[in-house]
Amino acid sequence: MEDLLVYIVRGFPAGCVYGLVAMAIVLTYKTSGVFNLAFGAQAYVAAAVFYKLGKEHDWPIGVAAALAVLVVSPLLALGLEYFIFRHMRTQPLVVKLVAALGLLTALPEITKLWFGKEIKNLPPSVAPSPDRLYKITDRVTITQDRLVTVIASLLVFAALTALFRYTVLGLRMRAITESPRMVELAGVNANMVSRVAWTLSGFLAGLAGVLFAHTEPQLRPDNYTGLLIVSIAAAAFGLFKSIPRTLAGGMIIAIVGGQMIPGWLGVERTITSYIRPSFPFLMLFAILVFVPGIRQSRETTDPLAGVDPPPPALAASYRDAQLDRLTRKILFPAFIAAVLYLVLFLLPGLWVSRVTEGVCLAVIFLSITVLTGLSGQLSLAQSVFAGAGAFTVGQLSERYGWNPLIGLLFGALIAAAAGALVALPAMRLGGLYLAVATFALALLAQNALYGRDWVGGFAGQVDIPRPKAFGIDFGEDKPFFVLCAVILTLLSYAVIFVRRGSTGRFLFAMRGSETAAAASAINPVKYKLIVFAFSSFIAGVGGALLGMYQGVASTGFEGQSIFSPFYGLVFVVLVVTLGVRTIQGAIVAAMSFVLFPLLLEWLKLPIEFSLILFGFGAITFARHPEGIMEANTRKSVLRAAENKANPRLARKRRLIAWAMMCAIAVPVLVRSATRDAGATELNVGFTVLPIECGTAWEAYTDFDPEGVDAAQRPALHSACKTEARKHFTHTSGIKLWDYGGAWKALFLFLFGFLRFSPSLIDGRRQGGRPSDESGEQVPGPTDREEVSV
Amino acid sequence: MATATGSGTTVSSPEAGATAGAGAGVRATTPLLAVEHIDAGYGPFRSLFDVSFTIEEGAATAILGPNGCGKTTTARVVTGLVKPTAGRLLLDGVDITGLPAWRIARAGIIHAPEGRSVFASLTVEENLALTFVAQLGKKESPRALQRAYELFPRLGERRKQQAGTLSGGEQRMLSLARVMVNPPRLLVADELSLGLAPIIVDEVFQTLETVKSTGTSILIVEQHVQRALALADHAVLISKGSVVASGPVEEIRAHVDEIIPSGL
Repeated sequence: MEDLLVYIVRGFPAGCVYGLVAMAIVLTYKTSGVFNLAFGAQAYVAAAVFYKLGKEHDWPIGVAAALAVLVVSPLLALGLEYFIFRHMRTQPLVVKLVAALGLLTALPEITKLWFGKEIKNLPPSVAPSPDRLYKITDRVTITQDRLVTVIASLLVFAALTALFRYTVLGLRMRAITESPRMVELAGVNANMVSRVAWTLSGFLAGLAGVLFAHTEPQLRPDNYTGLLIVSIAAAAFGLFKSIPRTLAGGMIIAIVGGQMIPGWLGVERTITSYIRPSFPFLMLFAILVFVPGIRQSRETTDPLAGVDPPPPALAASYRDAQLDRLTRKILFPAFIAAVLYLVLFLLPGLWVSRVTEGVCLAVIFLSITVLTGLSGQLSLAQSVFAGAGAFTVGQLSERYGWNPLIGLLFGALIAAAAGALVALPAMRLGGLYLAVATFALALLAQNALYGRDWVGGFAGQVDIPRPKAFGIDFGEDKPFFVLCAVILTLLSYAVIFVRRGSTGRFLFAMRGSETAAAASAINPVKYKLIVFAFSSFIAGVGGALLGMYQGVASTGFEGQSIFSPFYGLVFVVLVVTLGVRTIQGAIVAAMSFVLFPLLLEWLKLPIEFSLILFGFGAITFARHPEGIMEANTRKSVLRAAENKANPRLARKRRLIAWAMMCAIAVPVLVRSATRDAGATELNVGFTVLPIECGTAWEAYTDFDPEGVDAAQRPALHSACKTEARKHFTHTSGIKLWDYGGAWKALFLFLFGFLRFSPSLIDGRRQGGRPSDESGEQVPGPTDREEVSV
Repeated sequence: MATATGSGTTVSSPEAGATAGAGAGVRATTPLLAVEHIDAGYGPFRSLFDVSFTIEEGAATAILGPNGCGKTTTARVVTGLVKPTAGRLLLDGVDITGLPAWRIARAGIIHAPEGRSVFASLTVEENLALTFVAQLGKKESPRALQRAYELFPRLGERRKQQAGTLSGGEQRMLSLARVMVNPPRLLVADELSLGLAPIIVDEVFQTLETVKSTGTSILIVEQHVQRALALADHAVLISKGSVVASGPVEEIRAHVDEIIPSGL
């Protein structure tokens, strides 16, 4: 009996914090339809402010906490609402979810620019003497810090419950849950109510962030991501609506999952180390799948949903016939040929290697195009399916000596089987719940499977050899690049055929309305299974290729492997932001993922900028939910029509485009011709090393390139090169240090051409709406035949 | 007077109405609502082309037309749910184009939307309170609630019941109760009879008559053409997104059969 009390007292404060974040999630989800996964990041921001002011600047702890919780966090939430989520109110859930995911990754990085990148130890507590003990019984004690957490949380819960039950504001918030438009028709400013709700949720997230800070030895963003996911489980227990049940959910996770089960099983046993971190995800998954009431979809309850326009047809489908022929028959093949020529004959080894990585990633991203673009389902477990492919290849070749190409097929089949398994719960889930469930499964896989030696290997990594087949050794970079490119092409065509065929049409129909599709004799169960299996098959192939490229598949420590669930989030955000309905969207996403760090390096910006730009990507995305690529294509189609109608305008635009290109390219050429090669070589070369190699080398020597004097550099230079080759076995042929400025110029020139040329993918200047005349010249999809006849 | 451009039955042009309101000072000639050359649609799809008509104070105006001709879109434009891409809306001669829906609602245009129009998860009382607090203020709200229950005792019996569990007719009563207690300047009634049993439809139209007799103008969108014409003083005929005829009901009756297939 006393044991039970101990468990409850130990678990209670954590349960309160889970409850707070869960409340914030429910609040914004219900009042604005945004399932805000960025709360983890918002809580982290509040904690960072609290830490910086309270610990590093020695402000009074109460003032620091008040500023973080009452000012910074609510303002941040309000800002997010105002700049991002306000514009997405009528967008589909997937769009909002992706914007929130983008923020979850970007916000901590932006904060770190001010907060500092170093490890932040021992976060402070709001309590004046946090470690002072209070006795409940002889054996049961509670620290002051925890006591403060419990009291503050319970007060907030009581206030919130009263607010919802008894006030006008609460009534309005509950009404908005159902239909913001109907609330407007009653004469209430729905935007204002939603803003109040966001501010309130910001306060809750901030409070949770500050209270949670002291419970961990270090202040790290991933702690807060973990907190967020656990809180989603608590919110699910409250069926995403009830306040008391949400609190109870938090308590069950903290007390039963965190204390009781480990207590009964024995804390030291291995099984406990698997079950304890997995408990919230298991619970979340079980609730999502087995509780029927939770899945009442929000969209179907808004009687005024018909006010929103349907998604437009793909821009390419109403392109002018001449431009269409030009793009398909000449420009596209020419572009591909140019890229192949560049990679195979001109680019230095490093670039070949990065482009190959991009191709492998593009295969993984293609699986998102299939699942999200084609069938409208959102899965956050694609990186784990990719991992299934990679680990299978590694294990098969290591244990049984299989040819990696056969292993790749096998790995993809295993990934497909896993995907079909995931599809089983997807039968009953959709939209948000499917996304959350897949993420729970991904975390479960990472916690329970990745650590096993028959999955992730003994030291957390499996070696993956590159194949030798048809008399070719794919161990060399260039043959391997060709292999990857061929596989990507084959899979792309497979996707195109599926999209054009009856399966694609059925999937489109299901995306529109599953009920209507079923009424048209389409079996939704069958096609969901097919699309999940197909998509994870592709992800498995991509994962295996990526593993071969890296030479190793690691489970990652602290979740930083490319196969960890975190990257599942990043992948989806990237692909959806750039364009999820087209294959070029996937390819561009993959290429920007690998080439962007190089570009940043060249511009001398810190690598964190890529994640920050990710956040700005989310903002752009708010304006172009169809994806940036697709938005560009649409603009170019509109402008092509304009150009045709108005040759003078076209000439002017072409002039501007050329001027732009020259303005960019000339300074670059001049700079590259005059740069001091000797001084920058080492630095540039060093940081551009592939990550595995760079870390290995840094760990090996504790080497700081800035702190070495010039005389020693050549020696270090060659030592580093040798060391890099040792760790990076497959890139024996690469020349790490000799990519010249001309390539940068070419790259930028191409970039500028694609960006500003009027005939290709133009459309940054005069981005406004086209005039009415040209608007009418761009007909709907049905008019395409008329043009081409 | 309902007017339309390009129609033989035009009685007075909207321009004339607007100048009267601005300059001549003869208030009686300013229409309650003037819809001027409205274009509107959903995303890339346009469903209204150059729609113009006016609604007079205290009169009932019916919008008639075949399925998919833009009736509901017209109603949504009037209450601000759909923003027009061109044209103006004038309430008492004041431009209200582009105002958010809640401002238009507070200015006195109430929309009873097509289909279900109550908050299913809120109770009957909460549904009413939401409107009354927004329009009358917190103090007046309890008195307005009392009045609603006097007018519709059925709602009083079910005040603690979730509105989603009411029958279709009761839900209509609930949305009309808001209007009866606090008569707006203009009631936009969009397909109120849709999906209801004939006997309930009778009841709904009786209520509309009562609303009209209190001096509220009504814009009625309806597929029951004969019933709508019986209630309305003016009618606007729409086909394929454009106004084809408008004017007093007696004049319009003759046109109706040409535009709308018999049987509707």
